[in-house]
Formats: sequence, structure tokens, C-alpha cells
Amino acid sequence: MFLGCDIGTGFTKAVLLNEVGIKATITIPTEADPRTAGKDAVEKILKTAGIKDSELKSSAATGWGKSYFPLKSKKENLINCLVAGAGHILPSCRTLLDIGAQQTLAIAINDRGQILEYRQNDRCAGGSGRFMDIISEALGTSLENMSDLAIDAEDKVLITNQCAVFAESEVITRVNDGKPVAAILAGIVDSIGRSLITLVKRISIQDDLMISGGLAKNRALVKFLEEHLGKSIQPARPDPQLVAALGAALLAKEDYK
Amino acid sequence: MIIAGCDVGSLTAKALIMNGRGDILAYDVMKVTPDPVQSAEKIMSHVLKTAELEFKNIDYCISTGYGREKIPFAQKNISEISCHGKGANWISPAIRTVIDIGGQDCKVIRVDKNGELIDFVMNDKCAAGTGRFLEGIAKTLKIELGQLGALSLEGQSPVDITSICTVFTQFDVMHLIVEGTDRADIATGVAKAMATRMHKLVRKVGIKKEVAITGGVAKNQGVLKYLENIIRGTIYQFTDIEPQIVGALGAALFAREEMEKK
Repeated sequence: MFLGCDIGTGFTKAVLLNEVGIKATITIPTEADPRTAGKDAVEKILKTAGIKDSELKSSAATGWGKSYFPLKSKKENLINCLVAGAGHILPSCRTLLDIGAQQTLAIAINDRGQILEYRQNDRCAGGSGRFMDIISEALGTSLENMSDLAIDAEDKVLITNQCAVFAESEVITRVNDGKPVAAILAGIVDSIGRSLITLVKRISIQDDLMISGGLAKNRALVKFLEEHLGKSIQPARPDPQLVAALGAALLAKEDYK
Repeated sequence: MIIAGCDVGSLTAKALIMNGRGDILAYDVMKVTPDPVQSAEKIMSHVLKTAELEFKNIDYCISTGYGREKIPFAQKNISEISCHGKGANWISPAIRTVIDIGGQDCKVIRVDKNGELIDFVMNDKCAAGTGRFLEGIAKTLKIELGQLGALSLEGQSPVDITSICTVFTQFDVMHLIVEGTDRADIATGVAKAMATRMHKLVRKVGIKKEVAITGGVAKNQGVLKYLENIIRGTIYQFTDIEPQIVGALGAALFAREEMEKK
């Protein structure tokens, strides 16, 4: 068995691989405590799979909190893990867009699964996964519900602030103005979508495109990106949030050989 | 003659009443309601009551701030940039640079000897370097915004705040708390980061002495101290007047000039 763990700023994800494929997965909130989250993720995934840690042949950690991972393991670069995971899920993937809680990445990959170039935004919460969390909290709706509302919206309220803090105030003002929540959410998807388009256009975009990270589950956002790039984008299967953890497990397996 | 200034900002509303000789009769600050007109009427009624006056006694009123165009009882509105420069220069005529840190913006204003605007820079695109940044950090530290300044003077080995983004810094602070970092060290690191960010803006128009600081963040002694260290000079704080009232004061002074023109 091989274990990959991605300790992100939003969630901690773990993937357990056996010789045939994925044996178990787990996703828990990190809550700014990478030490506890890493420990809990390992305990829970081993329990789910019904194995002991001695049965692990090797493991790898990645993401923001990788240095806090409790097991003796290799610490892998996030981009390498994303590319390894993406190549396993969709071998024809040449462009990967990953939207994490605090970091957005656009990665160009060649036909041998090597990184050609990448661009990232980790300086500003505008366009990040956390931006969406803040808005969802302000509106008191779940993230899933937000996607459904936004995709069915007939109107769109333009959100002028790029800054997450100011956009939150702007959203509250619009609600108080009596604007429909669905139209505001469509405006938010637009705002996040525009900053992602800017980022992804800084690399050379080749088919096939794949999207990963928590926001890849937002159908309204994926639809916006497809329309503006004029290309079809596949959310990573089986769960877009697990790509880096899967990649870490694959690298751990490769390393063991 | 009774003149008034009303400053409706994004977080607070301020009003000030003055007579023709330039004596301040009353002023106050309150939190805004979502409706700027209601906020303006509420603060002005309150201040009028303190001065034992009524709306009909006001000869001229100028509004300023974020909601300035909507104020029904004002005869004219003037940008808060001009008002801050004017107000600060009136309090202390040697002032040539005014750093104003509001709830949602940060401005550096250069004025001439008469308090007239020469140049300014402003950040209202990003919460970094604004009152919202400190508000966010105070919330994460679970303390009142007013306590943050004192705490930031106590840090022995301040943490290094690497992000400028308010949201990301809040997360970093959460992580520091989990790791058991001393709260004073966090507050000191945050105040230093805030001062560094403000200095980036100050550099764009340059500093001309004397320098004054206005707006809510002027109350944060930590930020003030670290900014003074960076610019290697004294920054005036207005001790005999609420720093948040300077914009409303400037508006009232412009209102007085309007009356004198008549």
C-alpha cells in the first residue's frame, strides 16, 4: 500500500493506493492546524481501509502543510504531484488548472507528462477558492447550492471589487439593495472566472484541459471557463480535490520501486 | 453663522458643527447603517442636539466621504481627499502631508500652506493597508480592534508576516495561534506589515514635513510607531480632536469659505 497526503490551506486530502488502484480516500478540513489534520487524515484513512501503518510500503506528503506530516516520508512539490495525478486520471491532459483555497495554478504539460511551464497566483485571495468560501458564508448558502443558483441565474450583478474583503461588503450591499442572490452569485462566478482566464492565458493552452481543486466542482464556473476559452474542460475524476494527493501516492509508489 | 460638515464613510459616519469664528460646537462619530442617507441624518441630528441646535439653524453644510453625493441636507459635496487635507492643515498649519487610513481605503495627501490639495495617492482596490486589514486580524485574534494597537507594542520577537492579502494573513495568523505563538508577537508583526504597506503608498507622492495621520488607524499606536521608524520622523496625531473627524472638519471649513464668498 502507498499513501499520498496533500495538506492544503483549506482541506487535507489523503489517497491510499494498492497495486490495482485507489483503495481509500479521505478529505478533512485543515482548520489552520496542519499537524492535527495530517495525523487525523492518516489515522482515518488507515481505519477506513482496515490496515495498519506497518502495511504502508511508502508515503509522500505535499501541499502547504507537508512539513507537518507525521509519517517519515518524502515531501513532494505540489506541481509535480498535480501533474502526476492528472497524467494518471487523463493521460491526454496537456493543460491543468488547479484552484486551491489560496493558490491557483495553470500548468502546461507535454505528451511525456513533463511540465512545460506554469503560472500561479498565491498573492491575492481574489479568484481563489477562499474567495468563494467567504461569499458563501456571507450569503449563508452552501458551496453546492451556490453553483446551482449561479448556473440557473437569469440576470447577473456585476461585482466590481477584485479584493475578497471588499467584494464581501459589495455582496452584502447588493443583497440589501434587494438584488436576487442567484444574480449576485452569477456575478461572483464571473469575477473568479475572469481572474482564472487571465492566469491560464499566460501559458500556452493545449487540449485536453482538465480542472482540479475544490472549485472544479462548481459547474457554473466550469461553464464560464469553457465559454470564454472556447474549449471543453473536464473536472478531474473521481474527485477534483484529490488530484495532488493521488499524485503524491503515485510518486511514493514510483519511489519505492 | 452655523456651518456643518458631514462625512459618511464605509464604516463610520461623522458630523461636525462650527460657528463663523471657527469654534467647534459639537462633533461625533458613529457606525454606519447600510443606508448612507439614514446614517447622515442620524449623526447630524445627534450632533445638533449636543449643540442645542436644529437642522434649520445650519447656514451651510458640505458632505464628504463615500456616501457624500446622497446627503439631502448638504448644499454641496467635496471629495474626502480635499477635506482631509483642509482639516489637518487647519488644526496644525505646518502640516504638508496627511496620511489617512480609513476603513476601506488608504490615502496620502499633499497640501500647500493654505491646506489646498497639491497631489495624492490612494488605494481602494485592496484591503491591505486599510482599516479592514486590522479589523480582520483583530477578529482572528479574538480581540477588539481598539486593543490591537496596545498589544502590538508588547511583542518581543515579532513574527514575519509574508502575505499582504488580508484573507491570507488572517489564515497565517490562525496557524500561528495553533502553533502557540505569542499573541503580542503576532500583533507586532501585523503592525509592522501594515506600516510597511503604508510606506509603499507614501513613497509614491513623497513625504514633506510636517506629517499628520488621520482616520481610524491613527489610533493604533503600534502602526504609528513602526511607520515613524520607517520614515525616520515624527508623525503628528491630533490629540485634542478625534482623528476620524478631520474629514468632517475640512468639509465644515470649506462650508465656511462658501459662506464668506456670499
